[in-house]
Amino acid sequence: MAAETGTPTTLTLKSNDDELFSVAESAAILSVTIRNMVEDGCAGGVIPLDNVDGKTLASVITYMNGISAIPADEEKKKSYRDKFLSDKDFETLADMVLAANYLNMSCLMDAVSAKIAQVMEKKSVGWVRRKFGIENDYTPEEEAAVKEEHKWTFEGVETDDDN
Amino acid sequence: MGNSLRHYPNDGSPSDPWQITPEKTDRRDESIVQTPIADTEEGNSEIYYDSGSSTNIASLPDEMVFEILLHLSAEHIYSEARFVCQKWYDTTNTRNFIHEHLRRSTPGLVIKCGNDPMKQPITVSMRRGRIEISKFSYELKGFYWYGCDGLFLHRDSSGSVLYITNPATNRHFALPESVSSTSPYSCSFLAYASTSMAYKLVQTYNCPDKIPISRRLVHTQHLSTAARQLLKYIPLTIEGFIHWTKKPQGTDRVVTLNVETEVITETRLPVDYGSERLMYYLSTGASLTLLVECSEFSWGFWNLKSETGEWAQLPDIDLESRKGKLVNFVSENRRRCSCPVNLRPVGWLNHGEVLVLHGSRFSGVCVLYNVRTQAIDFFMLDYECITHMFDSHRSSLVSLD
Repeated sequence: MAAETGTPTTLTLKSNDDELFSVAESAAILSVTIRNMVEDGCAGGVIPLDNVDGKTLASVITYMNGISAIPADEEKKKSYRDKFLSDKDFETLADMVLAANYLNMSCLMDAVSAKIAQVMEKKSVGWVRRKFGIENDYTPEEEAAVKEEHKWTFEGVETDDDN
Repeated sequence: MGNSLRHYPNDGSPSDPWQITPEKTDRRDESIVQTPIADTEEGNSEIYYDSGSSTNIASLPDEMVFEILLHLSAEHIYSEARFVCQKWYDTTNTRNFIHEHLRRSTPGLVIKCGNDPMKQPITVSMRRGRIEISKFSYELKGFYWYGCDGLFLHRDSSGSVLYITNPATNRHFALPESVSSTSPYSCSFLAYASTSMAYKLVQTYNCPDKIPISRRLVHTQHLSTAARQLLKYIPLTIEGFIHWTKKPQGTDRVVTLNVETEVITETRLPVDYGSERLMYYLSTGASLTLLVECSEFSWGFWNLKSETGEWAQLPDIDLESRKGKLVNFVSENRRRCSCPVNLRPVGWLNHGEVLVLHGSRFSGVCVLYNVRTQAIDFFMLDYECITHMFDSHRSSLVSLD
């Protein structure tokens, strides 16, 4: 990532809890929000990012630096994204969805959404509610009706004991 | 390896048998974050996230929940996710969501048994870089006839009633008798017109005086006689276009119906290949491709832009140099028959990135060839079947209620 020509431009980003981060402009403009600020010439001083906390911003900057260091190789970028997200917990992922949306980083948004969905896909309704902090707003009657409705899902499914 | 069955675990079981590459995701210590950033969870690996504190999935704005749910399979949304809470039920039940979900779904293949039409079809798809083989979790009434963007058109065993089924939601309905009545002169197909977000049923008639007056007609007089001949065959439906081709020996043209505008056109092939060469018309899910046999293990490769009727030539698919390896693999893995290994292109996975080739007749060996990375992989179809038929498929939440 060393700059070949002169000094690389760095930007200073400020999180909503007043942490300051220094990041190469070439990496930061992965965020369309930041890129627009740069293009409009309002990225000279400190760029306040009012919707992102320091912890999340640190993580997003790690991602920005990591992904922008990879040349145009979609396969490598994909495996970087997978690796980057592999150790993130749900709170972090949720924070990152919000940050990616605010910063307008569609590739990160997509990767994080896919990651959350991937983890969810193998889990029960109860697990998802518990883990995601979602309140069950079905009444017991509705819940029973729902169970009845989707009973067929388990009918006719062949056993796979022999596998 | 057995033929994996798709099932819907609700117990968070760590090993899902339908995954060929198992992946650990059921660990509860996901809160250990190996980054220099301070972890507010104090590294306690057994803590569940308190729904009251900081951000969680439940507190995300609607459009982000929408975005996350789009990444789930139709089957999972229908049988699990929509029951998490009413907001999720409502979100996934909108026309907009269903449309967007279908648009983003990764097309795969449905494979049916050619010699036993009553046998349940299976699906093969590639999700997140892995091959998933699944069986539909319910009995399809009668036999599978034609599939399009998540819906199946099929007849009951007597052949008299035509059904439309969504295999992902196990919902089906019988078409009215006036539509489904069999006539030796008519065939029925389905296509999804994405701009108007509507499925359309298309029927071809060989005999003009048999056309019921209730139908909206697409006239074909402007087509050449050779083109009209093609309408007798089973077409391929791709992204709002129905393409009539003739398989496997080619003709010099393709007839395409734009289901949105209901305009039918014919397109000449880019090169006259004569009638000797084997031609394979395959759907990538987004466009029609043509593979023309050059030698036993290589094919010329073309892609049709449906909107403009233009053919674009792509680099040949040449597996001649890897012939030895392929022949060995297919020979070793097939269960019966010692007839020659004869790779036949049968479909695409992952948006036209991975070509599926069937090992030979009477064998369940399928070869996967990634045209970008040139990597080769294999999977087995293990149900007892003499011939297999391959068709493009994607799963959809479209409601038939």
